[in-house]
This record gives sequence, structure tokens and C-alpha cells, in this order.
Amino acid sequence: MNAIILPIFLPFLTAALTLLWPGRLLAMTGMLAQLTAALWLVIETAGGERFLLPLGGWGATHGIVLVADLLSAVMVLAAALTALVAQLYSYHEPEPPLRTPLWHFLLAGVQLSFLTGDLFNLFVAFELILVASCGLLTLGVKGRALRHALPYLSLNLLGGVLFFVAAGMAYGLFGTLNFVGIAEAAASMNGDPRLHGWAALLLVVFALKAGAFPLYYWLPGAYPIVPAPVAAFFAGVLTKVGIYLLLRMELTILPGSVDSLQKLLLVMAVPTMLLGGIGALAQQHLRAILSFHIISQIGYMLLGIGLGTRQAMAAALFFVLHNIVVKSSLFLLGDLARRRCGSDDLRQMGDLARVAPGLALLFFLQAFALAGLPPLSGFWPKLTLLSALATQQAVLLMAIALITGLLTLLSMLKIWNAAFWQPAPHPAAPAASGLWAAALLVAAALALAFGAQPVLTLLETAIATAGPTQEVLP
Amino acid sequence: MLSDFHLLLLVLLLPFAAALVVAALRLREAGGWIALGTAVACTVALWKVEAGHYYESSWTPMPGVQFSFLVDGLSRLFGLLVGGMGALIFLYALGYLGPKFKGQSRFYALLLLFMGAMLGSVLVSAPVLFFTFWEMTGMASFLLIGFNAEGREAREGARTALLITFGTGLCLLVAICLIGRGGPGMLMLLIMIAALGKSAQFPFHFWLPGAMSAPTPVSAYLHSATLVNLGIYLMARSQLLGTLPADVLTLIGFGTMLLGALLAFASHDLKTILAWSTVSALGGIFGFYGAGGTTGDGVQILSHAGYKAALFMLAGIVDHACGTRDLRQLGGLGRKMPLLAVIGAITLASMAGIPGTPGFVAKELLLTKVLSIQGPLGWYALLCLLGSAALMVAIAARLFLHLFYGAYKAKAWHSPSPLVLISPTLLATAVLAFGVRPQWFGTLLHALGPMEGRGAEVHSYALWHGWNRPLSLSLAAIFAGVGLYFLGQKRGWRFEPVVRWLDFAPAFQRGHEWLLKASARLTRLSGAQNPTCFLPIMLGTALALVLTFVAAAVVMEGDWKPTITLTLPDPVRTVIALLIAACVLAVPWFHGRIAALVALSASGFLVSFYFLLYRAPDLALTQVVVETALLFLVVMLLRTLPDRPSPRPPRSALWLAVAVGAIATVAILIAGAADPIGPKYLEMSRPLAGGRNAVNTILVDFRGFDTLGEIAVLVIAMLGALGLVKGTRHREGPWLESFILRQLSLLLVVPVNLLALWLLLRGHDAPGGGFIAGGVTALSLVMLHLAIGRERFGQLFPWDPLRMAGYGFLIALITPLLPTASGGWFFQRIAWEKWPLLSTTFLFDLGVYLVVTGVIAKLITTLAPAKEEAA
Repeated sequence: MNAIILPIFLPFLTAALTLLWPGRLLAMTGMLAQLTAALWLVIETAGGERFLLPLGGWGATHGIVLVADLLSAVMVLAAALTALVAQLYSYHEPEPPLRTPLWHFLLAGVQLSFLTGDLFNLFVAFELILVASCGLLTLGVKGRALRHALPYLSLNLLGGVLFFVAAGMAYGLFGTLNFVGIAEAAASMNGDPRLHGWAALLLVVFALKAGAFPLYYWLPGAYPIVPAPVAAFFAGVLTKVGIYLLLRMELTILPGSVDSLQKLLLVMAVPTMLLGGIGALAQQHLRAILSFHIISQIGYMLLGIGLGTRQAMAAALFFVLHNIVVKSSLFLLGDLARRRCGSDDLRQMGDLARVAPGLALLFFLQAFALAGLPPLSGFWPKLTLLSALATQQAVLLMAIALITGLLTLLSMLKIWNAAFWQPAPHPAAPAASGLWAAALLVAAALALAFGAQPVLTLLETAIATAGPTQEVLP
Repeated sequence: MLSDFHLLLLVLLLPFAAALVVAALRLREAGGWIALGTAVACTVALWKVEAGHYYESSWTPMPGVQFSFLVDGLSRLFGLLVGGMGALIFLYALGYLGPKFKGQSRFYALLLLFMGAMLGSVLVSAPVLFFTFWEMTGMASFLLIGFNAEGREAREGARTALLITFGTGLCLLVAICLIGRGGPGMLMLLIMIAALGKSAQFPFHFWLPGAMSAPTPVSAYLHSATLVNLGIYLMARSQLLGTLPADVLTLIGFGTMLLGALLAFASHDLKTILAWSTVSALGGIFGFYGAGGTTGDGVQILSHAGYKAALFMLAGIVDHACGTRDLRQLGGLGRKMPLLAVIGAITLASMAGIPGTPGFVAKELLLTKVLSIQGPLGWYALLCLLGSAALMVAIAARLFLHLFYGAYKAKAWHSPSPLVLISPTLLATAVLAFGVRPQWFGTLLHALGPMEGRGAEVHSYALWHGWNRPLSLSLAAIFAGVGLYFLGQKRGWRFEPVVRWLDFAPAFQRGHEWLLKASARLTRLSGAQNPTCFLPIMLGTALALVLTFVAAAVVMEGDWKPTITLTLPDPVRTVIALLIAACVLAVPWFHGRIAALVALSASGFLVSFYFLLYRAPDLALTQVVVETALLFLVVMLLRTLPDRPSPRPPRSALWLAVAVGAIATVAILIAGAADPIGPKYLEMSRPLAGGRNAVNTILVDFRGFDTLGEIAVLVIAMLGALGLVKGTRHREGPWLESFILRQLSLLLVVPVNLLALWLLLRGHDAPGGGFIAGGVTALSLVMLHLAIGRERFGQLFPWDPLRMAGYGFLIALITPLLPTASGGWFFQRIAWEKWPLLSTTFLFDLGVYLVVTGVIAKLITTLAPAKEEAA
């Protein structure tokens, strides 16, 4: 089906058009069109259908095939929604030139990474994401803050090199770059050490993108320097590309042929959760705390993928959606808080619960959602994950997951008690616009929470239908 | 009339709806009246609901959430307590919160929210839903404790309370996940921990006094009558799931009872004393369950809630009137507020367990149970119980005498509004009535209906059971209490060591601070703040994981031999390969940046030779163009940097790099293709893609979509670079000083661009293509720019290279769309019979050409003059 190109084509088109003829309206239209396309994709695939687009009409062996199944569609929708809201957030402010096209290019890369069924094409998507995000990262940043962009660039570039090596090896090992082709070839070379080494390499590449221990170091320094709407999108979506690909790897590329991968993911999950939580506790700046939370939440997702049961993976995917929505909105709300207080140093903040009750309410909801308190959106994936762990009698992992929740709550209380409750050292600045955009995401999070069971059913379908079954190409 | 199920739903939903209304409309006083009405309505409705199981299965919004409810004696007891006490509290709050009170609507909304969560907790029977409401009560409690957040104690108290209840609540969550999976012993232990946390029992007892920073109606409602009773409800309810760990419960329950009484005895703040006495009383009920008590818990709960809520209200009135809650600064209130003194006398008597009060009935029940425990545990329980009973008497005596007798010591006096007196008066009347007629307890509990899994309430409560052991022990405790009162008087009520040793709150606070410090240290230790070790960590991880995986697989497989397809190249290639290696190795050896750059660049040019030897002229050409452009760019950038020798990389980094390189080489070698795809492309290129140049057909047709992505990357990189250098001033005039070079560049422009055009047109069949042609054009433009300077260049070429790249990208993007109009696939090739050159692939290649030209030209023309400004 040609139409599944739309989530990639539309941002590309918007990027090109806004590059040539800058304009807010054009960018907005592009975003909305893309969101519509994403919604359509989810509706079409909701029953577990899969759509293929053999680009140029070539088959999977020598051409590129785009694949849209429910797993991809869900991710596409989440990314499109977050991008739109982030754009809406800064609607009333003059947008720095160049940002709009970069933004849409980034989006195209992200959507491509969700829809491609080809390893080298995925590499191209990685490049798009990396270069565009680096451009956005450095765009508004001046002076010494720029040095935080360097680890981001260098680590991710190196990750790209590793990916390139892995893609080259895939040609040699499997004779194809197509995911399903690789799956078929890998199934017949079970136990081959080359396959295992290759899988480990690919896992490192994806885990780096996801921000898993010990590969997360590019993240916490870079995110706090980015302008809020960009940071919201980065924080929500970029690491989830890595998680999505780990899911893809487990489900589509190498289903069951390298079982030690799952154990490795479990091993990585524990320090990722704990160090993320502990790192958040150690920070004094609001955005730094939020950045470390991303890492600890990634740990939950790794845990779910590592467990490998359908329930656990659906929980991981639920975590992904919950996180995209909640994390993005927290970055936006954190930015509003920063602007009210003139700083995001917790020691310089205060009084927001009294001065900005609306902001406080939204922040409270999202913060507690992130800590996993019921009935908010973070609780339901946690519950699903815990019961999956309980089925396997993995008591230690349960304890670690819960301790991470406690650490998250602790650091959220740190923010809450400081920014919202303690008396402020300075009078608050007038309210900035953009709260309603964040409220949209909060509404989405609440919808996830109060529709958790239907969502979970949908996600289980997504997991169940993501296997490597290639229909005969037309 | 509404059906029972609808009434139940009304009870569950009305508080939330009311909270929403109050918060949304920002109702102040009216919010209080709405809340009062809601509480009364809920109480009445709940009273009307028939006992039984209710179940609604048509819809599950959340995993593990069934809409199943249980209405029986226990849930009614707690539900009516929550609703009825809620009504009294709202009535009290209406008088207590003056018009100056900030955030009234928030206050009422939160209290309503809490009431809804509480009613939900005691009415649902689905575990996950119960946990949801359970945590909601905790959240509401957190916000209410921190209501006056200006005070540090309020913030810290709220945090401690939330952390304790949330942390112990996690045990409940684990227990819920383990239902049907784990052992019942483990299950009950986990549930017990959660209950202990919620009800502020040892070792979690310390959060309750910290919660006293909340406004007094909150303390009276949440932290004496309802929230803290939720743990008890959980204990009573979980008797359905299995047997409680009786010994542990006895140990902790009675221990906490004594502990709370001791701490209350040693405190001075009115609310703190009441909080500790609450801890003590709840400990008694936990002990009661531990001792095997079932029926009779209703009396304990009701009698405690009755006098304690009234006492809290009294404390609030005193605080309001005198401006202090410190017992050492109070006195003489009996003359100023005689009604309050009467209320105090009745409720304090019940607290002390004087015969003729509900407190006495409850204590007798407890004593009877304790006397039935065998062995040392029985003695322990009895000693704790009697000790705390005696202490309670002393505390009650102190409270009464120090509040209402003596001289009036407080500095200020505000007359309380009559509204606040209604609720405590009602409560005191009830206390008096039930004390005198304890059989009413039996009637009331019987009317509530039997509790699931238990028989009906059969106990007959009476004022006089005859002269028996419990009564004599009780009297002994009262006498001992009087003695303790005089001891306290003599010592001036100074018992600081008790507080120092038994109140864990300061230790918890220190632990919290230690955790913050430790996590900062751990984060530093994990390297998250030191960028210099990021790359080694990452490469080391990659290396270690790959090697481990391979090694593990080799061990598992046993006899695996890698087939390395290594054919030694001919002498020419060997020499070039060695030269490339030498150039790369030389890079870290050179001190100067330019030298290192030249070495790196040389290796790049040598690679193009290598491509040529493999008969890949396209790749070679591309490599040369890219290498040239890159050299240009980097030289320009390097010259803006201060001329310092770059520091040598550490030896370890070098070794790591060599290791990674070696592994990558081995990986490429052993990943030899069983069935290489290259020859297939060569075969397919002409018949399928209509072009003889396989490299080009791959680039613009087979894998043209990759190319689309890559030219997008080029555009993005340009945008990113422009964002970085924006704001630098441009130097006017030509850059090249040499006359000959300038003339040469001018002369070369036309032929070079003709060459580029030729390369573009023949690309599909012979070496060439949009990428190379674009590079060539761009280089010629750059030469021209350098030769004639920005100004004249601008006159010659008035269009911005950036727009050129944009248009190019647009062409490359729209072209693949054309075949879809006629039902083809996106990116499918359309060629016209007459002019085979004019195909969609050519159009696409044209787009690539424009993008490459535009990007390189834009970058170099932007960066070139930037150097002068820095110099």
C-alpha cells in the first residue's frame, strides 16, 4: 500500500516547503496532516493487519520494503502527537529560523525508523535523526552550554559507525538487509557464533539509542540545554526509538534465535533503572532530574522486553506510550515552571502551587503518573509488568522495579516540595502561554490511564502480530 | 426509587463529582456546605444499600479492575464512619476556617476527594481497585498535610507520610500480584506491612505526628478517624484471604500501644500528644487481631474515633482561640469556655478508659482477649496494655487539668465561632450515651449486618459484668495512672530521652539526606558527569559484549571454525593498503592539527585509488570530490582555532581504538557472504532498471529511497551548520590573493561545469551521476567564490545555494510520487520510450545533483570568510 509512506513523506514535504517558504501555518498543516495519517494507520492496522510498500516495486532482496503493522502504527501515532503538541506549545513565540525544517526532518527520520523493514534504510533513519537532532540541539544554544552537545554527537556518531559495520556484516551473513529475510536466514544458522556476535553489536547500537546502562551517558547532559519544545520531543520520543527497535529485534529480526539477548537485556535493565533513579535524586535542577528519569523508565522497558512474554512486552510497549506522553508534558510543564521562577535550579524556585495552581495540578498528575501511582497512566504498565514478573517468580526483579518507583517518587517529591511548595526567593514572573498545549498531553495520559485495558489489548495484538511473516509481495 | 446498585454507585461517585464542582467553580464557603451535603447524602445512601455482593462485568477499563463491590457489616461500619465523621468535620470546618483562610475551595475539594477514595476503599472487593483507592487516600493525605506549605515541617511531614505509606503500599501491590501465585504466609505478611504503614504502627509510627502540620479538621478526619483506620480495615478484610501472622501482630500491636503512650506522655504539643495516643490506640486494635479477636473490633474503632475526633476538634478550637498548642503555655480555659471543658471532660474520660465510657468498654474487651493469650507473649501483651492504659490516664489528667484549670497564660484570645462547637458537642453526647448504654454498640453493629466470613455480632455489651479480673486490672491501671500523673508533675513533664529514642522521624530525615548525598556520590562515581570517559565506556561495552557473545556461542557450539575468506591482494593493492594504514596510524602521532588533517585526508584519497583498482570509478570519483570538499571545510575551520598543538590522546584510548579496529576487521572478514548480492545487482541493472551503471541504478532506483534519506541528511547537516555559524560577519573582497590562481579559477568555471553536466547525463549508464556531478559543480562554484569574492559572486549568481538545495530536495521528493498517479508503487521507475533519458530516475538524479551542489556551495561560501573575522 503506497499510503503508508505518508507519515514519512509528509514531514519531508513540510520540511522542504518550510525551508523554501518559511511559515507557521504551513508547518502546522503538515503536522496535522501527519497526525491524521498516523491515526488512519492505527485504525487500519488495529485488527493486526500488515501493509507492505515495496519501494520502486522491487522485492525484499534487492529493494527496500516499508512495513506498517500495529506496532509501527502505534509508535508513529505517539510521535506525531507529541510533535504536534510540542509545536503548539511554542505557537505564540517567534520560532528561530531553520528550526521548523529541522524539526520536520527529524520527525521524518523518526517515522522512517518505525516504518522501515530494512536494516540499511534504518541506518539512514538513524542518520536523519542524529543529524537533525544535533542541529536542533545546537540551534538555540550559545557559549559553554554547547559543550554538552559534544558527547551527544560523538557517542551517537560512534553508534552510527557500529551500526554501519553491523549492516555491512548483515549483507555478508544473511545476504539480505530485509528484517524478515534476516529472520529467516538467522533461524537456519542457530548457534553460529557470528550470529551471536552480530546480534550483540546490533543490541549495543539500539541500546545506545535507548539510553540503557552503560550507554546512556550522552543523554543527561544534552537534554537540559535544549529549548523546551524540542526537549519535550527529544525526551519523549528519541530514546523510545531505541526501545522500539529492541522490540523489533526481539520480535521480528531475531525472534528466538539468540536467546541470550533477553538475558542481557534483563541484566542491563537493573542498573539502568537504579542508576537512573539515583541520578535523578542527585540533581538540583528540574530538567536534569527529569532527564535522569528518562533513563530509569527505560529500565522498565528493557525489563519488559527482556522477560520476553507477550504480556511483559505489551507492558513495555505501554510504558513506551505512557512515557512519550508523560515525559514530554513534564518537560513542557517544567519549562513553564522555570519561566515562572526565572530558573530551574530548585533552590531558586518556589510557591508555584499557590501562584500557578493549574500548572501545579498538571505537574502533580504527571509526576505521580511517572512514579506509577494508581489510577494514573504509569501504574497500569507497572502492574502488568509486575504480574508478569510474579508469574516467573522473579521476586528480586520485582523488588528492584518497585524500589525504582520509590526513587522516582522521591525525586519527584524533591521537585514538588521545592518548586511548588517552598516559599519562593523571588516574586514569580507573569504566566507564560503554553499550558493548554501541555494539558493536551495530560489529557492523553489520562486517556491512557482510564482506557488502560483496551490499550493493553491493542498493544498485545501489536506484539502478537509483529512476528516475521512476510506476505508474498504483489 | 433507585436500585441498590445505583445507590452504591452514587455513594462512590458523588464525592468525586462534588470535588470537581467545588474545585472548578472555586467555591469557598458554599464548597463547605456542598461537602457537608455530600457527606450526609453518602451516609444516608449507604445506610439504605442492601448488604451483599455487587458486580458489574460489562466493562473493564483497566487491567485487573473489576467493578465488584462488597457491602457487609464491616464495609458499612467503615463507610458510615467515613461519611458520618465527614459530615461532622465539614460542619466543624465551616466554622473553623475563617474568611481569611487561603485556598478554601482547594481544601474542600481535597477533603471530598479523600472521602471518595476512602469510601471506594472500603466498598470495593476487587484487589487492584482497592489498591487504587488506597493510594488515592495517600495522595490526598499528602496534599492536605502540606496544605500550609510555607512551613518546613508541613513539607517534610507530608513527604515522610507519603513515602512511608507509598513504600509500604508497594508491599500490598506485590501481595496483589502474588495472589494465587505465592505462599499464603508471604501474602499475609506483605499485607500486614502495608497495613502497619498506613496505620502508623511500629516501625513506621513516626509519620503520624509529622502529619499534624495539616489544618486541624484534616487531623481530626484523616489522621485520627479514617485514613489511619484503613490499615485496620485491611487487616479485618484480609482475614478472608488467610490467617494473620498472629504472633508478629501481637508483638507489634501491643508494642506500638506502649510506644505511642510513652511518646504521648513525653510530648507537649496538644496535637502531637493526640497523634501519639492515636498510634497507641490503633496499636491496641492490631494487638486485638493478633490475639485472635474478631467481633468486637467495631467497638474499638467506634469508641476511639468518637473521642479522638472530638479531642482533635477541641485542640483546634484551643489553638484558634489562644494561638498556641503548647500545653506548657495553656491553662485556665475552663472559665472562658465552660462547654468546651465539659466536652473535654467526657472525651478525655473515654480516652483514659474510666468506667462508664466507651473507652472503658473497649479496654475491657481488649483485656479479656489479652488474658486469653498463653505464655510469655501473653505477659508481654498484658504489661504493654496495662502500661499504656496507665499512661493514658496520666495523659488525660494532664490534658484536662492543664487546659482548663489554673491561670490563663496564653497571650491572645479569639472567641471561637459557635459553629465549631456543634460537632464536638454532638460527638461528646454520643460518647456519653454509648458509655452509659454500651448495649447500643451491640444494637448498632447488629443493625449494620454480619461481616463476610464472620458470624453476626453476638457480643452483648453491658456497663457491669460483675467483679472480674479485667475490671480489677483496669482499676489498678487507673490508680497507676494517677501516680504517673504526679510523677509527671514532679518532673515538670520533662522526658526528652523518651522522645529521642523512640521517635524515628529525625533518623528518617537524616536517612533521607544521606540518600541524597550518597546518590550524588554514586552518580559521580558511575561517570555520568565526566565526558572524557564516555567514549571508552561505550566502545569497551560494545567490545566486551560482542566478544562475550561470540565466546559463549563458541563454547556452546564446541566445534566451530570460522571460514575466513582472505585472499592476499596483488602487490599494488598491498602497497596502497599499507599506505592507507600508515596514514591512519600517523594521525595520532602528529602534533599539529594541519599535519594530522593532511594525513587523514591522504588516507581518504588513497581509498579512492583502492576503489579504482576494484573497477569502481563512481565510488572513486565520489570519494575524491567528498574528500576535497571536506579538506577545504576543515582547513577553513581549523584556521579559526587558536594555534596550539592538540594534546596527545592517552595511551589507553589508542589501544582501545586499535582493538576496536582489529575486531571490526575480523568481523568483516568472517562475515563473508555465502551468496554475495553484488553480482546480482550487476546482472539486474540493465534489464530491470534500464541502466548499465549498477552503482547508479542502486542509488537512484533499487535503493533510491536510501538516497532520498541521505540527501535529506545533507540538507539537515547544512541547516545545522548554518545554525552554528550564524551571526559571524562576512569579509568583503576576494579570498585568493594569487592573481594566477584567480584567473585560473575563472577560466575553469565553464569547462568544469560542462564536465559536471556530462557526468550527470551519462550517469545512468556510465560512471557519473547526480552525486558526483553535484560535487564537481559545487567545487567550481567555490573556486569562483574564492576568486572573485562574495560581492561579485552574489552579482553573478543571485540565487542562494540554500534554495537550490531546497528545490533539489523537493524535486527528488516529488518525483517518486509520480508513478503512484498511474497505479504504480512509490519510487517505481517510469521511462518514456522516445527519450529514455527523461525518466523519473533521471529527474530524481537531478534533484540529487541540485542538493549536493547547493549544500556544498552553501557550506563553503558561508564558512570561508568566517576565518578572517577571527584572525
